[in-house]
Amino acid sequence: MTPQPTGKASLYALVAALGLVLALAIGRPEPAALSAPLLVSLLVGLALAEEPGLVVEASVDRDRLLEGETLTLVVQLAARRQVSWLQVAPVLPEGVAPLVSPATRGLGLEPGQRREVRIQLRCERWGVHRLGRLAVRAHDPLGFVLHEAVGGPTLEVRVHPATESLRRALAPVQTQARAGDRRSRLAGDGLEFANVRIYEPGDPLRWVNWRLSSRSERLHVNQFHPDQNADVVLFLDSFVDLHLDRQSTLQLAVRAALSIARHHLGHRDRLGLISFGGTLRWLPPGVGLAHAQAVAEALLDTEASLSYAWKGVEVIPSRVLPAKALVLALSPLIDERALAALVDLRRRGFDVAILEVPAEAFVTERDDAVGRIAWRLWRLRREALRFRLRQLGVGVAPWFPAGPPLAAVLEELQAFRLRVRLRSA
Amino acid sequence: MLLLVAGYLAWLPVAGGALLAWSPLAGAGLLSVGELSFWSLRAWPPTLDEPGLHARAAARLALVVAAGAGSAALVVAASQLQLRPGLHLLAMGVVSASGLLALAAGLAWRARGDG
Repeated sequence: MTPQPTGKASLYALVAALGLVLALAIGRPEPAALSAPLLVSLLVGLALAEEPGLVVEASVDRDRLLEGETLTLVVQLAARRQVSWLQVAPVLPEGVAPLVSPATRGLGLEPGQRREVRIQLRCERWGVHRLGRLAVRAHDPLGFVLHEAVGGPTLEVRVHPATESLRRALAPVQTQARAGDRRSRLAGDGLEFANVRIYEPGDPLRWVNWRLSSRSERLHVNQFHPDQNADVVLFLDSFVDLHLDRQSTLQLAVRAALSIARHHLGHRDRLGLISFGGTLRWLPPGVGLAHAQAVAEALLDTEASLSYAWKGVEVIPSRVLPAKALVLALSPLIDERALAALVDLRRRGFDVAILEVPAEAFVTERDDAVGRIAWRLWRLRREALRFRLRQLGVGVAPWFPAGPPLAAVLEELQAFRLRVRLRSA
Repeated sequence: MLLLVAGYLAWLPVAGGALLAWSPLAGAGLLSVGELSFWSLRAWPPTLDEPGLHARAAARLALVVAAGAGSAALVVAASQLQLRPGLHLLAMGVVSASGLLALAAGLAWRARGDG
């Protein structure tokens, strides 16, 4: 710990010195008598001031929680010598705030005594937060010297975003061969009625439509839509992260991605993840609870990192992008590299849709003539970009928390995809 | 604090020796002002203190002020001793004052070097 004399020590020393010198100069005892209490207090205080020999340990009662939940930071304190007033303040990262302000706690410590301080913290923002760093300040009995230190263990707390529960998300155009909750467009063995056709040798007898067969004098069989799963790949554009009022495009994208991932994994779809940015990260498609956990962890670790390197879809391993997969991109549509990759994927025949986190919500218009024109031009360019993407058959729908709910935006995106399919059919 | 000291000293030529008897009280008052001022400064940054902490600090302050008043009374009592004025007395005063200040500086140095 670093000892530091307080301003009080300097002031008392100054006044005491002045009093003594003045007493000698004028040959009277009054200035010396006046300064004596200060001098005695200073001498006793400095004699008592010793390094407190503090031992500080910190722990948290939980290391995984949901956004908005609280956790308790438990600080264990012990000292070799008496500390009349000990201030303990947690050094909090952005997104974590004390439940009761102020977070700084004051207490006294006797030699060898062990005390515990519990500080309740509220995790206001998702992410991986590092807690445990503490600023400690120990005052000596008379307040002439204070010992300060900042340090402590690194306690990693993973805060998951609060997600929106979706009843419906985007339905992939094509399903895969595995069983799932999605009705395949093909006819086969399933529950939902699809069509009736003439009996063919080899058809199971339970498929025979007896009512129609008795009237038509030929055997007819019912056909069904098999229930299959689909492959969905979430494409997270992490090239750019725009910030405004403690929110950012990447934060919103991750929040939406987790809601969508939970929906698809809950419906037995295989879900993969590509974080396409300065650092390329991926998670191959998978199913199940363990995979859901892996997706959530991977999303928590997502962050934008600056890079000038050009990256195309060829850097993405092929096993991460299975054929017939729905590629759902979450992007602010700012970085050319992410846009080019999405267009490339579409041209390679992937079913691509974009959930846009609109950059317009994070940029403020400059309030002068040039600023207004620039703003309008920029918005026109963005509209043109969305139009070009739609022309390619890529649905684009903007989503912002202040606007319609995510489920409604996905419905809009689905409606566009349906229109495109009908037009091309 | 410096203003209070200056005010007290300004009265010295006017009041003559009458102020000497009040010096321990004035010294204790000065110490109280200093302690309370620094106590109020310690309130920043805001801290949630445990119950009883302020009561203990107040008791400690009262003890320090009482000890301060006692030390001032000792100085006043020492000044009443019938000593022959002269160079040797002045030299003793200079040595005592310098010694006290050197002791304070030494203790401050020790406190700084502890860590």
